[in-house]
Amino acid sequence: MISITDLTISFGSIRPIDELTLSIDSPTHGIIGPNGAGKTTLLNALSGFVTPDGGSIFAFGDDLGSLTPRHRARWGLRRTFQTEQLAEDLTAYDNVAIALDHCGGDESRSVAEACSIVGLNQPDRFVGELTTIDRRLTEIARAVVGAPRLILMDEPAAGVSGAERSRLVELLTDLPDHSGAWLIVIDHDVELISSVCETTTALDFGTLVANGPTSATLADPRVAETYLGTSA
Amino acid sequence: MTSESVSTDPVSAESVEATRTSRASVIGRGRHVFLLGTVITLLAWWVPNYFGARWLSTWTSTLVFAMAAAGIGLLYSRLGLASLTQVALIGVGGWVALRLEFAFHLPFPIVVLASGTITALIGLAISLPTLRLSGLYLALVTLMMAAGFHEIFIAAGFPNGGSGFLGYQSSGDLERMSRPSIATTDPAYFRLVLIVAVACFLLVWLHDSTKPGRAWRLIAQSEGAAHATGINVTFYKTWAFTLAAFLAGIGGAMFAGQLGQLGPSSFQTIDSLLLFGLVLVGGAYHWSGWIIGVIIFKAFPALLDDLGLNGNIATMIAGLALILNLIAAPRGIVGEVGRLIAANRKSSESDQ
Ligand SMILES: Nc1ncnc2c1ncn2[C@@H]1O[C@H](COP(=O)(O)OP(=O)(O)OP(=O)(O)O)[C@@H](O)[C@H]1O
Ligand SMILES: [Mg+2]
Repeated sequence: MISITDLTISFGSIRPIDELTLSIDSPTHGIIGPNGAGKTTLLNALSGFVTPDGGSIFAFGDDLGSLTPRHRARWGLRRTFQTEQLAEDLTAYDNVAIALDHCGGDESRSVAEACSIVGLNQPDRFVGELTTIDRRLTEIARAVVGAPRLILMDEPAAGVSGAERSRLVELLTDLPDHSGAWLIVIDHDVELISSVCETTTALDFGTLVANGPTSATLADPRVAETYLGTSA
Repeated sequence: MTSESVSTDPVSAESVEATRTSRASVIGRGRHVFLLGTVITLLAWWVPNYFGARWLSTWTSTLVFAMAAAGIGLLYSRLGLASLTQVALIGVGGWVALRLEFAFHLPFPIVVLASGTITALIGLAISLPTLRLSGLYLALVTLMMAAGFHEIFIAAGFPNGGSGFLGYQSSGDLERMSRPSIATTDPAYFRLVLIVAVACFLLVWLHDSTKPGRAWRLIAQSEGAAHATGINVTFYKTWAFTLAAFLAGIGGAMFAGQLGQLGPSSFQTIDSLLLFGLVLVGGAYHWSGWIIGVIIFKAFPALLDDLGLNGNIATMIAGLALILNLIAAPRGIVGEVGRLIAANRKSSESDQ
């Protein structure tokens, strides 16, 4: 279980996250909200990239908020980025190996196993020559290798469509089962969120609009109003 | 709608490992080692036999500076860091070697390793405050350090058997660094420097193809992503800078052995800058580019000299080459050659 209490983040006079209290109770959790709602900022707070003005973050009983980003990674926190961050002049395999180099434990999942879970079938190609989907899969494999406990993804399906998209949706849906980690996904696509996530949070102006089972959150009239743009 | 890159069959971990071992096959690697060994043996035999004393000396110092150039190429290509102080660090390594030699008369290998280690520690001390800087600021600060070292070399002189900590005397019985008994002659010493240079490049390769190399590349891509992957960013940046200083220090000790005595004019600020620029011209992203860069740095002025031209023209031409390089071929000579080969291969594949 992940609990966020009274979390506030400000950049000067902007407050992307405003006294947010939130509890995440399922292994597949979605975060939705309009542009600028504070979704990425919340993810950055979870990974430790931004320092909150106040509030606390606990995951499975551990005080994540007190750890540096690097120690959160060693604790088992992984993430993917809104634009992929991979070393271009390394193979996909070596990119995945980086996480194992620094976060590997005794009972770690190997690079080959991680590639196999995400379906990366050409791990020996250089990242520079991979297609969008394979780059995305490489980043996910890097999140899955070792012994992750919580994986954060910022718009994992952006720029992916058709068969590749359905494949990605399937992968994300099964990811907690295959990796043993909980998954928090940001996406604008309500369809993706409802196929992947058991529970979902809707944010707007850095505050909670709704939180609960995905179908309940999506049915909430305020979500329909603020996010889907339809007036109730 | 199907896509080639998305397999419908699940990939098993075993098949992932299988494709890897077939590509990085033991035979393939063995062939590389054999080829490289042959080339090195041929150079060791041919260069001292073919070239006269003056050119042999040029090639020997080319190898010395190649050790420092490896540090430049490593920092630039893997971490995107511009270190403009590497030639000055050769001077530091040389100073330490002379100092240790005259004070303790230690065996040659120990002097060389100790000089490398002490220079590495100095590099470490420099890196801790400076690596927080980025881009242009790091370049400027390291260039100022090169100038600072040069001033210190002028003020203190290089040890030559004098008394006191500095060990410098302006007259009297000037001592020379002695070479190891197996390599007292110039041809033998060339071969020794060749072996040491190869060892230095292997050390870089060893780092580059394992955990540190992978970490450096992700740090260069994004420090944020590196932190989020558990990498200790400061540690790995410092490590790279320290390794580069170690290589320059080893080079300095070998240089002291080559020349016997050293002087500040061999380690001018402009040399640090020029060597950096020429490593970029040669191609910072591949070790062969570092070697091409250092050959232009050392052998080109000697060639102009042979032709009766002023050596300063070399600096001007190097400057022009650097400008051309930045505009037309940012991955250097080696990068361009690689691109041509790849393009050729592609067109011959599409012909079939
Ligand atoms: N480093 C920063 N400095 C200043 N303002 C920032 C910073 N990061 C985010 N913001 C602001 O905080 C607000 C929330 O941004 P955030 O990126 O979290 O939104 P988001 O919900 O991820 O939006 P999107 O759907 O467009 O990705 C925005 O108004 C943004 O301009
Ligand atoms: Mg965002």
